[in-house]
Amino acid sequence: MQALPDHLLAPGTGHYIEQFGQLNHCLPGNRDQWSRDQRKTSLARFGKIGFPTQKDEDWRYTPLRPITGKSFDLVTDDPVAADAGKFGIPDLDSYRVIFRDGVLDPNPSDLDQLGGGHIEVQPVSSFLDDGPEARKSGFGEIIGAEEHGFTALNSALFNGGVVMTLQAGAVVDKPIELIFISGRKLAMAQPRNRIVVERGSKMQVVERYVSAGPHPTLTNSATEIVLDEGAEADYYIIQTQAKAAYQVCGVWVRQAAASRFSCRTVTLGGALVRNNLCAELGGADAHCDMYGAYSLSGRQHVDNHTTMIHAARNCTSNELYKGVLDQRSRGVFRGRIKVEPDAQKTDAQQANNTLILSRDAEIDTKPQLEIYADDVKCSHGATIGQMDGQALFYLRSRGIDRQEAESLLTYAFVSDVLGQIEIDSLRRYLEKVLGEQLIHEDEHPGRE
Amino acid sequence: MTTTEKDLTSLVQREYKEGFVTDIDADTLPPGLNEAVIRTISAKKEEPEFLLQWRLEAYRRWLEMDAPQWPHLRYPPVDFQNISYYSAPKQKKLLDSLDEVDPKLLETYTKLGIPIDEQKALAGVKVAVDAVFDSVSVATTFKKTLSEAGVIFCPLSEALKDHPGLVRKYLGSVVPAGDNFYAALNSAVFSEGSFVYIPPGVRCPMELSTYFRINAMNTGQFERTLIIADQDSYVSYLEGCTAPQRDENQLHAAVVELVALEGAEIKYSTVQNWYPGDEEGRGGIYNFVTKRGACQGKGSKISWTQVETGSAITWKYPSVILQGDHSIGEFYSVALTNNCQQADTGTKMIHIGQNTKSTIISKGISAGRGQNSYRGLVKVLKGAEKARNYSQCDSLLMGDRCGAHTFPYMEVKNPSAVVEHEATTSRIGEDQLFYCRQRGLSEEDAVSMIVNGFCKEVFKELPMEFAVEAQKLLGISLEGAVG
Repeated sequence: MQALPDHLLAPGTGHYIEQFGQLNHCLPGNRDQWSRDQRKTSLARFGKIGFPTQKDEDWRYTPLRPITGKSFDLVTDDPVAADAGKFGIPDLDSYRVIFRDGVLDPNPSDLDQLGGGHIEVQPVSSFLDDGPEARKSGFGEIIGAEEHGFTALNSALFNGGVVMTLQAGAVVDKPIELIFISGRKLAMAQPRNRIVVERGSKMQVVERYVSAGPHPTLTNSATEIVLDEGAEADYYIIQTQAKAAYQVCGVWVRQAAASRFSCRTVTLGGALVRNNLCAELGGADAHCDMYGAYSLSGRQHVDNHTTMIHAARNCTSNELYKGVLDQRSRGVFRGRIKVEPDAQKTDAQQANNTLILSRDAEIDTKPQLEIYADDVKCSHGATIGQMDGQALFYLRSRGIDRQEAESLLTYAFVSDVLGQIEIDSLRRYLEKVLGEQLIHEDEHPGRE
Repeated sequence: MTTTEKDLTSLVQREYKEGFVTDIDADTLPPGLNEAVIRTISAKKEEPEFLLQWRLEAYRRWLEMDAPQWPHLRYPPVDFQNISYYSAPKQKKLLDSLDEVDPKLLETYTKLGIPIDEQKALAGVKVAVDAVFDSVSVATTFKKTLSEAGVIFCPLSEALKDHPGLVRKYLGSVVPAGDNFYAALNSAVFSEGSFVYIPPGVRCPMELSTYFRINAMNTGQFERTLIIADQDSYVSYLEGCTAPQRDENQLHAAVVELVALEGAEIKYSTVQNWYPGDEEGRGGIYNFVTKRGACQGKGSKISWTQVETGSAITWKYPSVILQGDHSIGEFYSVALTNNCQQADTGTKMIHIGQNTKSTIISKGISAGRGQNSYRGLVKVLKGAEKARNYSQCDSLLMGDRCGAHTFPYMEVKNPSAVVEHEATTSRIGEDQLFYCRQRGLSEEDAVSMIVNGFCKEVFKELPMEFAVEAQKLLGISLEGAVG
């Protein structure tokens, strides 16, 4: 790979290709021939396509200069040392898996008793180096490596992750919490996870992104989730990292017949966050929910990019994203629903509502329906607007001051997404963080 | 269903009624495009120097561009060197009445069902038809009534001679020469078109209309229409299109520019029924059109209404730039794709001025193997205080091999803007169909009734005589699509 002449490499890729040369001997799976080949193929791909640019339709509203203009260093040893305990959510009883700058830290993690014995869990490194050959080939099977440079980069340079398989018919008693702590200055974390939920089993997973310090960091994650027949998974992506953190988050889901998947993404932190969430309903009678809420201020930029592929009959899907944009923040939403020719009796709904609070905020939204079957019911709606003047007046006429009335209404606006969070302690925690953030923002000048 | 199957089959397989070639000796340039061809076109049309330079500039820009790849369309690349860029009927003298028109032309129009020679007799409805046969206008009527009102309605080439100042001022002001690939091509080689100027305070006394018709073999048609509505004026413009049957694809890359000054209103309606190709998708017109209006003045209004039932491929986004405060943009569209037709159509509403409003109503119908896409942009710039947009895109699917797609873009940079978008996709409700059938309607009639109801919001925007034609067209294009 290093042999590829420089002038043939896509701009900005050189640094990471160099890192591969230096670090590939200590990356997970380096003792396994298959893994090494996979990484090399992906690196070549990355060198060729490079990072996306705004000329790519899928990235037109997200300038990546803040990421591509910096050289992040992949962490393989000496990751950030922070007390994992301080990132806990009050009253949340969970099995925890801790990652520091993308590297799995087995010590504070509950790997041994994860899922009360129903889950077979392995760090990516031991899975690839020592795991059964037959299962290895499934690793990364649905991650859209061809899609864009970030997934190719993750495939080539992932530095940690877990592989979990929930046994058929099992129900996990409490949520599994994957906590990704980033902290070292200009650290690059590239976790890669695989979750298999076998037939008829049920689990809750909370992916959390937090920062141990104020430094700029890049987290480029890729997670694949495979749901067998009748399996059920509730998935949460909670982004409360520092305002200097960058993240590209990828989640790919493949659902078999009668499975049920729901994802709730809540974004409150980060400088630039891009979430790629892609679900393929591959078996009849499957159901998928995607909910998202974000509240942004300062110069935050959040891009939610969802893809819902209906590939089988009788499937239903529901999508609701709500965002609040203050100060100079920018929100982007792209929601794609594709109904393939055989997916008759599809019912797919999508809505995206945005509240703009400031003169300098911007929203770019692009719902997208591609329908190749006729017996379907699909709809999408998008609204963009400001606070309801009448509601504001009502509250003020009852003696509530303007700032409080505004934060009350803003809070109410996103609360129907937060209300979808079934883990009570997590919902209460997010409501509190959001509430504090809204009050805090009011102290900033610049609001209308 | 079986009782009507036979009728359906015969209807579906009905040959394109408008498909025939009129044998007129045309003065045609050999295929190919280069600067010499552009100079020849310009010289043949005795154009002023500035226009030649403008054409050449557009051509140079075009050479550097690539045909757009982003539409949801599939077709083989067009060989632009295999197209003849100029074709004019040889007879050139101007005519005062229809009697002097070449009877073969009149015959063509009669076959099309255009009542051009009956219009004078039509009581109550006055429609002036500046009939464009291929590239040169040959019949112009009702000039007198219009000139009494001060309205200028003439071929673009004539306007260049009589009103060069106006043309120079506005040509390319809304769609610049290098705007996009097909607009640049049009700017370089446009052959003819219509020019309309409505003076201040004048309400145009009649609906203006032009029938475009592609004729000679392998002749791309590059029309250019320019409509200027001066302060507080009003004009309603009708455009209808049909084309004869061909085996080879024909390219049509037209440009329409509208300028509405303070308080002016332009209503632009289109019924497009060009040859869509046969059931296997052979032949048919490539319709790559750039249409854009600028609401330059305060309180101005531009309204686009289109019924697109023909063409193998439609690529068309009539847009409005809402510059003036309190200006209004509207887009009403029905697009139908049957057999192998593909359409990627929609609109752009660019809100620049304060209190600007836009409405988008788009109805897409897909049948057979048709692929129908709505692609639209609503952009609210920072200064567009209290901008308001409402968009609704509905798609109706008939048959399990067709596709309906929506690609709306919304970019909002102003907190006081309110933008709403709704889209639905479904097939004709079985309950609706059952209800109609149970009341004694045949399946055909029921479908036709439901589809017409689906499109009603758009049809009611069409001028009366067009609305009737549009309903008929829709009926004919769809009959047999249900089964």
